[in-house]
Amino acid sequence: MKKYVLKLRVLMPLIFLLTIGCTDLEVDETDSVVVNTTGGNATTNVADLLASAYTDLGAFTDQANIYSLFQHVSDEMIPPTRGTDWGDNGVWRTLHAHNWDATHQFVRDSWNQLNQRAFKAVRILASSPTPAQAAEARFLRAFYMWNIMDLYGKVPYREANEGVEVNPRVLTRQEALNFIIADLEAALAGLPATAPTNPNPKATKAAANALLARVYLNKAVYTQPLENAAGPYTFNNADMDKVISYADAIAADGYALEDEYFKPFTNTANTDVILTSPEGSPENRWRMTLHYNNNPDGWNGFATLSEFYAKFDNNDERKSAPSPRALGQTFHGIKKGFLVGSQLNDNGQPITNTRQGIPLSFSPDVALAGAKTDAGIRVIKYHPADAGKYIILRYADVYLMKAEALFRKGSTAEAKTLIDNLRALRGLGALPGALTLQNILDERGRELYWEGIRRVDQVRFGTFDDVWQEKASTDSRRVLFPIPQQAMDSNPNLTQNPGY
Amino acid sequence: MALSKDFTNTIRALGNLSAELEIIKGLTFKTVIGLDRSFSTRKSASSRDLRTNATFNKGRLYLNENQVDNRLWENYFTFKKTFGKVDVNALLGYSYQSFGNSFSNIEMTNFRTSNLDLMINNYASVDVRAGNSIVPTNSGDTKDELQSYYTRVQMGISDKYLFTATVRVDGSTRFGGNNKYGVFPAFAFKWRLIDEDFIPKNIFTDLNLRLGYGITGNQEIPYFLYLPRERYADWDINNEGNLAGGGLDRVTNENRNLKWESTAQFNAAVDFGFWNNRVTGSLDYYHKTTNDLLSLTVFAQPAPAGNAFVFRNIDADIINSGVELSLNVVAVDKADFRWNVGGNMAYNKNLVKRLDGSFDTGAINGQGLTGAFAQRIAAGQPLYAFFLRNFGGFDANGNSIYPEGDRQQFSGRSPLPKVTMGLSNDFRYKNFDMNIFFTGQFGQYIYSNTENAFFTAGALAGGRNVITKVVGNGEGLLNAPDVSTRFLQKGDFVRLQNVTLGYNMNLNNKIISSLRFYLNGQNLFVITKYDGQDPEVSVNKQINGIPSAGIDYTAYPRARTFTFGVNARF
Repeated sequence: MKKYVLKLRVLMPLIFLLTIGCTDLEVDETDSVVVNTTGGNATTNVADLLASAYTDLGAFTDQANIYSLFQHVSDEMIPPTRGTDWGDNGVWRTLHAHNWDATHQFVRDSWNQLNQRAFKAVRILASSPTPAQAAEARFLRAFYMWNIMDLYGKVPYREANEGVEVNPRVLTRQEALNFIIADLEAALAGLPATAPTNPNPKATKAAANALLARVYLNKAVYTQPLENAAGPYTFNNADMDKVISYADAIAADGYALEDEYFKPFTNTANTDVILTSPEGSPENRWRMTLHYNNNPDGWNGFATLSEFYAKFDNNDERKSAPSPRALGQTFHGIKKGFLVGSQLNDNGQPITNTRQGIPLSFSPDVALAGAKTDAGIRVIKYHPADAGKYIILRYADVYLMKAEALFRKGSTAEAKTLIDNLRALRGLGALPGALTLQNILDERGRELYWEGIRRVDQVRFGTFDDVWQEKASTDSRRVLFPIPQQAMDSNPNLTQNPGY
Repeated sequence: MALSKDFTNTIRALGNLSAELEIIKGLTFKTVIGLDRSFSTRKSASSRDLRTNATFNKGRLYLNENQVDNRLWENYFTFKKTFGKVDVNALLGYSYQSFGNSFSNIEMTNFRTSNLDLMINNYASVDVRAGNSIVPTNSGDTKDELQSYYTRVQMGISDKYLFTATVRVDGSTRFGGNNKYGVFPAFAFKWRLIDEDFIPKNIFTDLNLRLGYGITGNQEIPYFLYLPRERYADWDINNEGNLAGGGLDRVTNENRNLKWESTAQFNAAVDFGFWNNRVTGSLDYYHKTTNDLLSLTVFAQPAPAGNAFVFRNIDADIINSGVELSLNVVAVDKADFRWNVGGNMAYNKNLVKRLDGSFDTGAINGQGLTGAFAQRIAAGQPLYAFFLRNFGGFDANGNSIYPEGDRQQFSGRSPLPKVTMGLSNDFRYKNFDMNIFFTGQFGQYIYSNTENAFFTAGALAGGRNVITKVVGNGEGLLNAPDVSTRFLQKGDFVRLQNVTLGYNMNLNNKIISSLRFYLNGQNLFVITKYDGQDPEVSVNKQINGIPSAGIDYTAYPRARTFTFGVNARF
């Protein structure tokens, strides 16, 4: 018995000693797969990743974020706070009034969305794509990086094999510009030259040419030091020649202006649409503006400014067009263009604004805060009855870029011919007198309103700091958005833009 | 008629086994094995007659199984010996803990019956041919492990000076690479002043001085985050009957440097007793510094697609310092009447130091409040500091005035109480006993998301009911209720937390040795100026994993509970 106890006395502590280090604390993973990152963030399924990089263009259909940074800050659109609606903690009002800061939600989320998308293209290019896939990925990378460069003035860049511990390096605006041009020129060689189709969901030579034209037209803006980002700008004739030749290359592929102004926004074939978002219907574009009591019912949000509306002649076909649906059919009540005054339903009867129990009538005047539910003129380009896919690039923009380039390099007569030809197509007479920059900016507004390019135009034409309805004269630093605070906190290589 | 049924069934087994052995005199070895296993199933059915988008004309059944398997194995030696005036008490040990969890979920829809029992007990009542009728929502299986080596040495000299030194080495599967283990030392010193000659015994019956310094670790983050992992996301049959989800998603991003968060604490205290211990208590000062904060942070852009967040140790200090006073007074001590008063009061100051950048949290929800938030964590501010517009009333049109601009700024207010207190009164009169316990918190503020979202003139204009203070407060129907100090209120309160009245029967019974009847009331009243339901509130309003505090959003008030009971001892 004593012996036994003695044995136990030795055995039990021995067990203790044996248990020391009984686990290596490595996880025996069974319900997920640990991703091997030694080869970077490369993928074995390039086709799927490329498809998803296109799908990501759906972000541009959102009424918030990227679209809002290009559109709400302009003289074409106002996001009125209507009682408890659309206050959203001031996120819309600060865009219109130009008093956003580095913690602005859309400034932050747009940065994240665009950079994530650019990185997806980086991953595709690091994953042994075919030459055709590489050309598409380069186009998409350039497109997403152009958005970042234009909005924020600098572009962070992460290689595919750089993990979370690496702080991405930061391209200056000039470096980013060169990077984007190089990508687009390389893409151009590998992209197909295709005739216009609708929808047009893949990158083509026309898409790369259109983006190159845009980049060169704005090159004077992008080469300006950030301290003087608002200009004045000096446009280079060689750059303008590039814009013209890219525009001509697109026309050579068969792209042309459409006689019927609203046709590119429909689901019918047309010669105008260069690139559409494959995913994401333009539904947000009518929901964000229509009233609750319209059919389809909207979110009763955005309106245009009466000053902008006043730029349209009554003969301008871009101002209004009837509904594609006959009386009594669904969506007959929604006209195209600007919706102003009394609103009728699909059967031609007055609509009741149920919140106030009065007939629904959109008034031209609208306040930024404290607006009534029916204040402000509403805008319909994509119509719920015949909407096509959401347009990312279209020829009318290219055409106007060419006219502007001609004007800026001194070929004013040629420029005026182009503008007058467009006006004739829209039911308007030739512009009286000599063509001016203001004429070109106004014509771009009338042709491209609410298409998400107005901020770029206003910066280039130097009107971004001006006074307009519900906006005071603002600081010239506003031509660039601040680097989001969250980005500043997460990447020490970033420096904040001047004045923020 | 019932339109839904929800059954949960849990089986749980708990077990503890220990053996102790004295190897030589003073040296013992002990081993402890613990098991805690449970298995639960849940079946939740909603009838096709229930008029919601998810259920109408199709019905829904959710099946859920959950298994928990927690284990513990602890082994330690203790050694006790007295060397002259020195008492030594030493401990050396090892412990292993594992926390296993697995689940599986199934979802069914398109039922051919509205009979809930049949739905639950006759699965074939689902119309499988209708398509998208049954999906495996998901299953999962995770296990976390903790392994610790520890030693503690206590040394008492002449019963007057007591030294304690502890070192723990804790390892966790939640951290990667070389950072699995953290070393956490602690030292304590206690001086029994009462045993010193220079302490007047006619005043003090007890007097100790305590000093301590120690570091503790925190590993409370989700499972296995340090390597990038992919997992198929849950399938779902959505309200329209379409399949959603199921994609291969990145669930974690890589951070091989993830390590233990640690808190260093210094404290100094005096324990005292006067007048034959009629008055006892302690006064404690502490200073805690938490660093290497485990937190979800953004992955610097450009980031991999999908989840762009990663857990990191944030290089910041969170400092909590304060004083705690506790007192216990025997006010009356007679043969048939005794009254004991116990109270404690604590003052705490919280401050974030040395933090680069800032984190927004405290999401404010409601119509027209998309993306709104009320709190910002930044250096120089207390945790969860309120970050709001400064509200200055309404203008002639009834719109909010913000004298310092339509922008959010630090309000100098915190949701963390500065002072907390508890007061307990115990009475015993003959066979009756009574306990009255108050708690209180002071100096904290509450943001009422409830009022921000629902109780504004704009909400009234939208045809919704509001509370009376909205009417006639000068707010116009078109005013936007932005996040501002308008919805911030003081949260000070005193609560009568507990009252118990008991009666002990005088018994002379061989079967029942004691019998006590009692009546207990919990949360009997709250004295506060806060006009929400309950000032002791904190609805989870985290943003991107950054926790929030002190925000009320349609929170349920605490229950008021009355209990009548009998304690009998046989």
